[in-house]
Amino acid sequence: MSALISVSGLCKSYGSKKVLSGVDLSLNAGQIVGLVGPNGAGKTTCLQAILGLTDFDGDISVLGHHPRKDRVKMLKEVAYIADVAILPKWLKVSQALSYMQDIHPNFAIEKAQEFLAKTNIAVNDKVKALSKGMVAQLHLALILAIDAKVLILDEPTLGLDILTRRQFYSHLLEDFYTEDKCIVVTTHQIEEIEHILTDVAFIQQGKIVLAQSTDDIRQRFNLVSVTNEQLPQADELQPLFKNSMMGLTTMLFDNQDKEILQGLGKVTVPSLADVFVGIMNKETC
Amino acid sequence: MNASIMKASIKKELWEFNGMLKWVPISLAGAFIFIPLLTLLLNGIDTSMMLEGLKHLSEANDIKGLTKVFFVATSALFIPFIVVGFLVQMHYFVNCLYDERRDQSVMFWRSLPVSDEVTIVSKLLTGAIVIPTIFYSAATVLFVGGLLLAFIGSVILSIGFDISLWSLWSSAQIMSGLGSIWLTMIPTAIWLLPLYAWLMLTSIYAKKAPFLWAILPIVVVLIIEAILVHYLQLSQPFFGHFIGDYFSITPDKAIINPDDIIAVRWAPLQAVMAQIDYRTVLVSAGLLFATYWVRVNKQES
Repeated sequence: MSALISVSGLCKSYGSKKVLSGVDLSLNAGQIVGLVGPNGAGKTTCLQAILGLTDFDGDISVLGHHPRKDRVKMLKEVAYIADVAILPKWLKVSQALSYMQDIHPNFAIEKAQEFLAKTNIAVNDKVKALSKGMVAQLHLALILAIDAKVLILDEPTLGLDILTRRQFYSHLLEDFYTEDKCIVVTTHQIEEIEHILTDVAFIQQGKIVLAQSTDDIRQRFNLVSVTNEQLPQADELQPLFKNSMMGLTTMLFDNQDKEILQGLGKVTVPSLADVFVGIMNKETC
Repeated sequence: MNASIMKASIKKELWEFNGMLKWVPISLAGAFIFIPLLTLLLNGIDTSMMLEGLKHLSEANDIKGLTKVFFVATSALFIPFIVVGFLVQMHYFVNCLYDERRDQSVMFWRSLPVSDEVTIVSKLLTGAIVIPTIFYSAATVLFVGGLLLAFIGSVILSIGFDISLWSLWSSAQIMSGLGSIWLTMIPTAIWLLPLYAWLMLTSIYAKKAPFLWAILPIVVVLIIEAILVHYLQLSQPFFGHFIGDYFSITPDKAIINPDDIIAVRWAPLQAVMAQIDYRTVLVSAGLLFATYWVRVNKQES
């Protein structure tokens, strides 16, 4: 299967500050990939390079297009939500629909209208009259109506309440996702979307430190609640991360024999947030 | 460049500046209608004196003089619209690329399959052609409204007072006068292209106060150049002379015979055309390319 997005040796610097150093990623149809990293890790820069919005060193191919040289052709099949606040305040909903219909060959206005009919957004409303959640819904309506192969979401639910956030992702799955499409999403609230992700890529200081399917991650990592008596034995197995609370220590192990771990305490499957925290704190442990 | 995408992009610009592009010409036209009406209401009208004046006018033989007066009156109607339209154009060019960066909507627009070339050209066309067209049209609507009233007045005078003004209508050469004014629009846009391109560059470059960015660098360069010219005892400043020479329309650039109505009518166009030369092309191309380059390579998110 040929990759929809292929990134190899991606590097980007702002002056002397290196933001991305040798990022390699390959994203295929059917994947919903979470690009997760702490603030300043290079997530947004990576997405902007993929979208051709910034110059870069290395090779990127999106649906066979070079993002800088074929940006317009590429964007006919790639949709992007950067942040909920970026729709201009002067824009009317009707104007947004009309403009999208005029400029986008893969935009289905009926689909957007159908989506908007389920919301409280009226066609004559201006963006400045809408709440932040409604602006997100409008943006989503515009993007979901595009028959895109790739959808890139950069912190799409930043600043939204939990109800709107959940609604956002459920619409994404119901109204956009199919097996022949690929979604890339960056978010700080990984625990809220881990159930929809098929793959994750953890990025730290401009480098991908882990890129794997969520199923493999659940097999590979184990969370063990270790009692104080078992601590020296557990420490020998070099946990990625440990957290002590109320006399019980929780440890995250990478690629350790499950039978040995069961001898140390109760073994559970870690959440992606646990693995993320473990990987990010690896060197300090 | 896809024509329908260009049309949609220009339409988008008109939506964004809708308030200003709708209400400024309407208000100006309103002022042209209500100020004379108010003056009439306050001062009253001496009907017999007016009829006497119109009778003299109907018997006038100086057709050339009447034609000239009519053209000057038409121009006087258009000039406020052209001047105010120019100020609106300046405002548009200074903000057209700055506003979308300030509210970060540039990220939305650039996520859509519209090339940066189309965006730059659509903004240039909106500012240089579409905005003047709106103001010229508003003046023309007012002008046509005035003609309609004049026609009704002529019919009333002809039937009720036996004063025939119909000969004035034929000597007025309405369409030629109007046409010559409209025909200056595109050459004016070409002549001012370096200015428009400079404002677009400042609009895409400035992080704050784009209007100051548009003016201050030029003022600073002029001051430094003036100091250098003074100390080095040069004959004249190059940059200052360039700007002064390019943007000033002096009477010697349109030599006309004041008695020749055709020459008078085409003088503004002739003067503007005389200003367009290789500098227009070189400076505009350089500044527009710089604007495009900044858009593609230095667009902050």
